Amino acid sequence: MKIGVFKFASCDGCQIAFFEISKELIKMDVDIQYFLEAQSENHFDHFDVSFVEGSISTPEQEERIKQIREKSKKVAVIGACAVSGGIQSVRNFMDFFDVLSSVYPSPDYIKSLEKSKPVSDYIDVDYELRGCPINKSQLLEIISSLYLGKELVLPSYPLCLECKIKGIPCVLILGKPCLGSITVAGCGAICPSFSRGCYGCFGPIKNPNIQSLKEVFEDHGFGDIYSHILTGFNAYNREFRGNDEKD
Amino acid sequence: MKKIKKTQINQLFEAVKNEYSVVAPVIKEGVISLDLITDISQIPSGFTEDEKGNSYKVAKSSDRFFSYSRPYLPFKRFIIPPEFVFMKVVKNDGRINFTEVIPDKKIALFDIRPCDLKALQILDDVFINKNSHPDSYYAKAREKLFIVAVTCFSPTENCFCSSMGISLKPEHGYDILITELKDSFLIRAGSEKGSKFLERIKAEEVSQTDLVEEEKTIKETEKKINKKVSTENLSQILYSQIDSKQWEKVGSKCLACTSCTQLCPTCFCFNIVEKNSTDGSYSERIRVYDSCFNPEFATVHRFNIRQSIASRYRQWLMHKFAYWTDQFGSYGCVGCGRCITWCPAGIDITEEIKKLREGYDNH
Repeated sequence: MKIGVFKFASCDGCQIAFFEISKELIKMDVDIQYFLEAQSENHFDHFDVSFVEGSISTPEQEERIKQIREKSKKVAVIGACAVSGGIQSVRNFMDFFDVLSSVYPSPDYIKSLEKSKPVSDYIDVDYELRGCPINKSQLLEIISSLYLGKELVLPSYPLCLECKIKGIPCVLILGKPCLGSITVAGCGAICPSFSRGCYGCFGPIKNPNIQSLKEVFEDHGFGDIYSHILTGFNAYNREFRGNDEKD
Repeated sequence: MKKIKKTQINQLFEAVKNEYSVVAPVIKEGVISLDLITDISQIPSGFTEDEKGNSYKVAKSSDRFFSYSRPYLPFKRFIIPPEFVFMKVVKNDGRINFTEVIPDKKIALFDIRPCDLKALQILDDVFINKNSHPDSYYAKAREKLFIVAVTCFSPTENCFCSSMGISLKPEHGYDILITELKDSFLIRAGSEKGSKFLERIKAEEVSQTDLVEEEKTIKETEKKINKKVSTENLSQILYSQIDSKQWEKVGSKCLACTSCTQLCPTCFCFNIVEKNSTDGSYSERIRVYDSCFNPEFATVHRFNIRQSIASRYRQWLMHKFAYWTDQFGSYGCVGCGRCITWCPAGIDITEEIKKLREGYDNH
């Protein structure tokens, strides 16, 4: 099985999961053709599956992601940047030139797209691995499913179910702002297991009840925190970006 | 029936502990939860819950031993765990061998309240008695259970067990029943197993005064249960409201978070997933809790027949109060009120039923 691992606008953190499952990868006899963070000899030829970290943020990246799609049987996007546009997509809700000139003294040298967008805005995507960062077990699940030819099992239900399975009392009822009910499970309920609210790094479930949870936050008197935590890693996810931005 | 001093509860506990792993209420992460315990002092004596709508607080405010109400987690977790391997599959020399995992732990449910005791009987119907394909795992785990019930003198504001036909002092379904009086415990055996435990404890005779005190406390406690559901003709009425606009209204509020189904002592849905070793030589078949609020729950041949939250909420409520009666001859609700306390959106199932009933009355 020929694998490629690629990185776009991102922090490189999700790729670390490949090192964490390296022992399993060796057992499976996978052929890593392209992985700049891990090896010095790389071939851009043909891939059974390509893993893409990062959002599309520059004109070069837009071209490159299309080339990867052409060379790959399957494309899996990994992490909140590739899935939703990442924390850098917060700029999508501001004036691009204001942002650019506030960061760079000579913005003329910068070649950037106005918006940081998910990979799926440019190419067809076969699999999505959520999270900031991703969960290594889920990465292994994708690779081993493809390797063994078995059905891929990734949750689509909200984090609350994962909390209940683990027996963690609802942190929202106990008075902490938590996005668990609109966030997809799969992280292992890390934050609630330390009595902290979920801040949604795994991104939204399908058709999240955003309005109702907003009212719940208001009833608890959490102030304006709701819009702030939604404007995070997954701000530009299709479920969150707002009606005028759906396309 | 016997009477023991309050200090003797430890003897009873130790006797049970000698033969069983004991699951009992504990205080954990700021809530009355459930866990395996090894010492009677782990029971959260003196603590009481304050449950108003969907708010929850615990404080030390009582001198009674069984001062708190039912734990926030249901006992079902200790019969069918939320996630467990029930079959192991090994591939060896071209052959595939399946090994069933059978529960082997002898568990005592210590301090189970009448609502949860009734829930256990409902699960028995679902998995064994009224099931043409009895669930072998459940049946094995159930056989090994020892049940110490407690007469409930501490309902919360969200409890509505009396509407569901449940008395504060259960009549059957336990091995031992404890009723807490001011200065003593009354102890009844409900089975041969239970009787044997009682024989080992030095006890006093029960007086008429004790029984009067017991009866009086039950009567007083009944008055504290203010939340009600009118069950008269309920399933019929609900069927007539299947196209009610109320479903859309509650659907716009419901987060479909699944909490109600997970904390419900009778919800039993599960999914089966497979975990493989990466070389394909070994796999584990895992049974894991599922929920009708799971967006994928009603996906059949890749088409989801319950896409809207409204349709999922309707399925849940109708199942508890209408479909369940058709299938098992009882309601699938015991009025424990956990789904009210732990609903992040603040939905109260008794209020929803009231609105549906009003819809029926107005036509």
